[in-house]
Order: sequence, then structure tokens, then C-alpha cells
Amino acid sequence: MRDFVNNMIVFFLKEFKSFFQNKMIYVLLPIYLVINFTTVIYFSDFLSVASSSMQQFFLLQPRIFLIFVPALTMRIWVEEYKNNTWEILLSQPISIAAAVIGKFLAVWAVTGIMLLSSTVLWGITAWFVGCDNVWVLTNYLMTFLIIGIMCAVSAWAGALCFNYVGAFLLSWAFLAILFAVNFDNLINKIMAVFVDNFNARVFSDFAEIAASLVSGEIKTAFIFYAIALIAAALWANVVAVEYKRSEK
Amino acid sequence: MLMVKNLSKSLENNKILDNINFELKDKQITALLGVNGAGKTTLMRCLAGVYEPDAGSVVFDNFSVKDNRKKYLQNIAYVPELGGLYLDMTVFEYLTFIAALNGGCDKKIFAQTVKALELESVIDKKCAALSKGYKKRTALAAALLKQPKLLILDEPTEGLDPKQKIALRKLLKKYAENNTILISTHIMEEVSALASHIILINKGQIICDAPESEIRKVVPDGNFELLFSNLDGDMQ
Repeated sequence: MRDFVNNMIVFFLKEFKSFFQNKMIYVLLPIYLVINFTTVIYFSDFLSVASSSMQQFFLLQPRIFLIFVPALTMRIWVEEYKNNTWEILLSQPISIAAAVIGKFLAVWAVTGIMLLSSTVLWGITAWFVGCDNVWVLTNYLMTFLIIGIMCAVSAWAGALCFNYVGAFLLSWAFLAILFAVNFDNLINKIMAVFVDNFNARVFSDFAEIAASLVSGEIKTAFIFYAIALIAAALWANVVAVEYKRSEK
Repeated sequence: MLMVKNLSKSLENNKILDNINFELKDKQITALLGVNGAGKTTLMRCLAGVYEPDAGSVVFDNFSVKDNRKKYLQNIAYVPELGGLYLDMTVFEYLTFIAALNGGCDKKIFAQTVKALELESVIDKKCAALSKGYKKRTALAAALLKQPKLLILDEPTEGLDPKQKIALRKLLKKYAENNTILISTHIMEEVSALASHIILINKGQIICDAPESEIRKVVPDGNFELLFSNLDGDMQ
């Protein structure tokens, strides 16, 4: 277990540093901020209705990260295949899961930095018109959790590809499906195999999750759902890499 | 001792390795020879844990790559033909990264390895900026940091200048005094200079597994290149 955690940290640090070494973050961060400011100002009368502006901001975050998450995750596995470093990784006495989790956490941390940079908007809102800081903080945490799901799913999609464009497009497609899926129906269909008359009423789709969080209806079920989805995506990522090892 | 029994591997529905059997004795350098497409790299990848064999077993020091993967890989290091370096890392960062994945490395061994492979002058350079020779040496240094009992090298001297080749041969010979080395090469001069044992592979099957001295006796004028003359493959 100690080795597993150590290897996970090694991969996290290596991957996290690489976002700064290849200057990717310096390109994506300003674009993210410009998109945020323009959309929030465009969609709402920002300074006169500050709290609704923040509401608009949180509602838009999953959609904005729909572009940024694939851009961040597309390289984490493709680069290993492209530079032939996957051969080195697979010949080390490490668990593939440690590499997968370490890489996922690094991407999630980078999205966290991007999200953190947007707190300028929170500062402006609080300074000029005031806002419910607890509400804003809670929404930041929940948005970060939603982005975590997106990072895990996107990293898995990236592990299935051998080139950047393919990884970006497949990640985007997986996330688009994630947005479109009606989770209540999906859960009901799965559970119907085991339980009669099971009727989940958690969230209908990904956009509604964001909306219900913003409206203050934070459900504990969502946190469990998010953790379960992240774990499932990471497991699928491990399987994808392992499959390449046993490819026929 | 490395024992390979009934090893088979297919890629994209083509049988690349077909029922491979051999043993590598301790403290010797074995050369794996074969024309392009014979299955050398696939065999090395199976031995290094990169590929999972479809059938058969690979056991080193009583640890199987299938059942005791972690312990098996702790004793083995593999240097692929294309190096496998993280190009955005410096040589120092790369070596410490690989060392960290293997539970760290003694500072003395780190310094000795860097010195032995003459990497001091490029230690802070990005791997992307290195010449082919330095890239090869960096990859080899990373493999040697964990002091593996079995070192698997795919075309180790390709891209090195004559001086570097001599230095590397000397280093490998010294390393083989206490450990086992398997090298894949096309350079016959390499085989004569390094190997004490030869395994010849063709179309995924081993067709010759014997000491270098015995093969030398049967090959006219000791010319190992003649070994290839009757083999099929991309080279011909």
C-alpha cells in the first residue's frame, strides 16, 4: 500500500509539473478567464445582479470545461504511447492503477487551479454588491467535483487513443454522452435487474446536476454518485492500459 | 536464472512468437539475433513485462512475470530500442523519476552510474535536446540505477560513436560479472565483442541456442553474418 501511494505521488508530481513545463497551462488559463468573464458579462447584468451572475457562472462551468478537460487530458496517455515511454512504465514494478490515479489527480489539480483563478469574479462580486459566501464556496466545491468526473471520464477516453486529435475528439464525445445521459433512467434500468419497481429520483442528466447544485439542492446522493462515477472511470482507464499490455 | 517455457504471443491475429523455450544462465551476456520481423522486440517486451504472453511462462529467480509481476520486475530492467525518455524532463529529473518508481536509489550508485555513462555534462539538459548517443546512455543509466539482476537491452549501441561503443561494451562486460544481460542486435561486431551465448530467432521460433564459441566453429571463417544468409525476413 505504501509503495502504491508513493508511486501515485511520483506520477502526480511528474504529470502536474509537465503542464507547467510544456507551457500548456499558460495558454489555457488566460483563455479560460477571458471566456468566463465574457460569458458572465454577456449573459447577465453582472454588477447589478451579482448573485445571479455567480449563478450563471456556475451553470456555465461544466459546459466551459467540456472544451478544457479534453484539451488537458488528451496528452496524458497519448504522450506515453508517442514517446514510447509506456514500455518503460510497464516494465517497472508498479501498479498501473497508481499511474492512472496519479495522472488523473494531476489533471484534476490543474483544473482546480483554473477554477481557483476565477475566484477573481467572486472577489469582485463580494466587494461591490456582496454575496452569500457560503453558497459560493459550496458551489465551487461541487463544481470541482463535477469537473473531477469529467477529468476521470476524459482521461479514460484518452487512454484508448494513439494520437492527440483522436484523444481530444473521443474525450469530447464521451463527455457529451455524459451530459446527454438520463441517469435516473439508466439507474432504473440497471437496478430493475435486481429490484422490482426501483425508481431512482436523483438527477435526470448532467446539466440538471449543475442546476440543482446552484439552486441549493445539494444532495448527498450526488457526492456518492460522483465518487462512484470517478472510481468507475478510473477502473476503465486501468483496463484500457492493461488491454494494451495484453493486446493480441 | 531466467526460464522461458512454451511462450507464445500474437499481435493483430499474427503469431509473432511460437512456443519459445530457452534459459539464460546467470553472469553471462546472451545475444538475441534475428532479421527484422523475426520477433526479437516482441520477445523482449514479453520478458520485460510490457506484453502479457498469450501462453507459456517466464520465470526469473523463481518469480513469474504472470503470478509475481512486481517481484519479477524488481529484478529486471529493460531499455527499449527507442529509449523511452520523457522529453520535457531533464536527465536528472528523468533518472530521479525512474529511481523513485523503484523505491529510490542510493546516492552513491546514482553518482557512479552518471559518471560511468559520462552524463555529468548533460545532467541538467532536457532529454529532448540530447543527441542520440546521450539519449541511449540516459536510458541505460535509468535501467542501471536499480542494479537489476537481468538487464534487457534492445539495440544498445545503435547511434553511439566508436569511442562510446567501446566504453559501453566495457561497462556491460563488467556488469555481467555479477548479473545477466540479454541484448538484441544487428551488429555482428557487437556479438563477437560481447556475447558468450547466442540465441537465433526466425519467424517467431528459436532455431539456434548455443554458446558463441560453438557457433563460431560451425560458421565459415567465424563470420556471424552468414547466420542470416538462409533466413527469411524484411532484411532480405
